[in-house]
Amino acid sequence: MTHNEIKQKLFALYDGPLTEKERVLIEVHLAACKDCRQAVGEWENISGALFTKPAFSEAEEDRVVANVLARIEVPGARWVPWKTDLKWFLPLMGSAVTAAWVFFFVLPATPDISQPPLTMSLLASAQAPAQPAPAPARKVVRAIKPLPPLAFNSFHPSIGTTPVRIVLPARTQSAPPVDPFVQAVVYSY
Amino acid sequence: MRNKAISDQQILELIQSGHKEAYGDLIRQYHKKVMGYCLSMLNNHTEAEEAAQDIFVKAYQNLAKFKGNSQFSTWLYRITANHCLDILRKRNRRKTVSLDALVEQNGDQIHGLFSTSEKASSALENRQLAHKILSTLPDDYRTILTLREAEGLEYQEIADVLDCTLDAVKGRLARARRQLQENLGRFLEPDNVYIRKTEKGYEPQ
Repeated sequence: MTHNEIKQKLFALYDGPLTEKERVLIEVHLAACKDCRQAVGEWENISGALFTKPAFSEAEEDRVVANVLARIEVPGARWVPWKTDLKWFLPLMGSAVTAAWVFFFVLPATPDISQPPLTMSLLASAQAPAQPAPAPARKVVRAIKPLPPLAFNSFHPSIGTTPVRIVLPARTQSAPPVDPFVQAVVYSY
Repeated sequence: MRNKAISDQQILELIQSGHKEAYGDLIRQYHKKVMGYCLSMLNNHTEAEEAAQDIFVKAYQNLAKFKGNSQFSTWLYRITANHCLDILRKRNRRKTVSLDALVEQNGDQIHGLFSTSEKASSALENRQLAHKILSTLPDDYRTILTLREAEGLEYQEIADVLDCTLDAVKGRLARARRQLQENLGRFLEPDNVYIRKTEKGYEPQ
């Protein structure tokens, strides 16, 4: 081993993890090399000055023991799932709660599933050919045929005998038909 | 209840069977190590004691996670190292001391710390100064140096505590030592270096 190789292993000698052969080689080198002895000496000096183990009294130890025992809980007194081996229980509970929430709150608020969803409707309307613009509204004048005279109308000579001309208000094709009841009343006049 | 002969595994079994007070024995067994590490990293006795208590409580609450794949001491050191790193990170957000500022303020004291002749400073002052010097290092360097130098953990144990490979431990330890030596090089004149004679056989300078 060269000087540099040995210098890199000096701390291994200091720390201990060396084979017997390596240890002997380094020790022989150290006896002859002032530079390496200096390096080891420097480190021993630093280590001795900076890393000292303080002593602790038995009273301190007792205080720590008492405080820690007062802080810890008796095992099994309170069941804490995340501090036990039952970690599998938490995801299971989470899944169950999520399923219940979907079943009771999300599904009832969903529109009828027999209808196509909104996106499908929009897509269909976008693909359908453009509808022609609706014709402008125009006035429709209809001639109403005179109704045959009714027996119960005979108390007034003008009712049921005179042709009536009724002008209906203008309406578009898409307007709903007139209510039959209203129409019947109009006819009767 | 103080029974040094009882093993960690037996104490853990007792705790799992509901004997909370058995945890006191485990605390006593590791109090010096945990407290020593906390004090090395935090350099404040009150803070270190609070941290040690938090660590033992945290360890107790997570005992179910300890599967026995490693030694209990390694597992406890891992909790300790992470807890101290968290405290240091919070502290570093508030205040950081640069090496130059430290040298400017405490240059003479640092010189005295490494001198064999000047031992006037008290152990407490020396420890506080040592902590200030160490606090100029990155947290991961301080952690690995404390585990190796103060706690005396082997490379493999450090790798288990820090959850990294053996090569990573060797590399990080070498870099940490190099940086510390570079930082303190100016205070380590040749006549200031004391080389003790060890049982390993090499002669002092």
